[in-house]
Amino acid sequence: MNAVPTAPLSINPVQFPFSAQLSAISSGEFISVVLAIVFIAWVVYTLVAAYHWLRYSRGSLVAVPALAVHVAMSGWLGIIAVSGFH
Amino acid sequence: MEEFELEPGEIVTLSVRKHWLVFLVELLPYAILAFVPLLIPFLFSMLTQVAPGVSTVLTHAPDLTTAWARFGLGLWWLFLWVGAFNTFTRYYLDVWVITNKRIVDIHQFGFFRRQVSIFLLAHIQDVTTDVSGVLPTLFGFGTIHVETAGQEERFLMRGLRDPEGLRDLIMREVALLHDSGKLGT
Repeated sequence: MNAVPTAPLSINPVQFPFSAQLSAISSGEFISVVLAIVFIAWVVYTLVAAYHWLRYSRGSLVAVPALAVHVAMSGWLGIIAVSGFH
Repeated sequence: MEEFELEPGEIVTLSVRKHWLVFLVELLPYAILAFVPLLIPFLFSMLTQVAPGVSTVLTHAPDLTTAWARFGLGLWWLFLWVGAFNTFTRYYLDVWVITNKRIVDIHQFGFFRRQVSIFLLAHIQDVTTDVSGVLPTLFGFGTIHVETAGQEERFLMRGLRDPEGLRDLIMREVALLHDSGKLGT
């Protein structure tokens, strides 16, 4: 009896959950999905923040510049995030 | 301010926020976390020098110039920026408004959680300031406690700039109210 198997083993490698689905997604699709989720969360946050700023500091000169800086900074960071992909 | 309306003859004497240093200290964790990813290549090179066996497991040094690294960095910094802006929002919307008749204590605990307390100067019994520590003493910020008569209520705000000046201002307004005979005593 030969102790060393001569035929390929029939055991499949460990499969992680959703690995088949994940491998089917291209990097471009993955980036698009992640960016869409981040963008939706960011829009909701920004709307809520703007509501609070404009409602509770309406007389202040800081509200609009603060929101403008927030949007500009977020846009710049978003550009950094996608700058490596063409 | 929409939380309260000024009564006839009422004027805002002072609006006061926490000291800017308190705000900077609250921002510090975000600044540190922003630099953490940039330290990873240095940590990797140090680790491979200390423990050469690591290089057999981690064959490539992390390269932050790749597209995926930039993607991760950009999102990480965006996440931190939102947190820092949130801190600034809470800092700015947290305010004490002192008028010639009352003190309005506005606390913004978070979005959709705002507490507004109004207490009349006529009910103020005791104002205490507490400046303790090196930084508060050097930069002039601390805690102010205002105790009102009868109800054993105690309002406090931490990290206020110039708490002694604020205490003097409150007591001056109380004295003016007393002199004008509007205290009802």
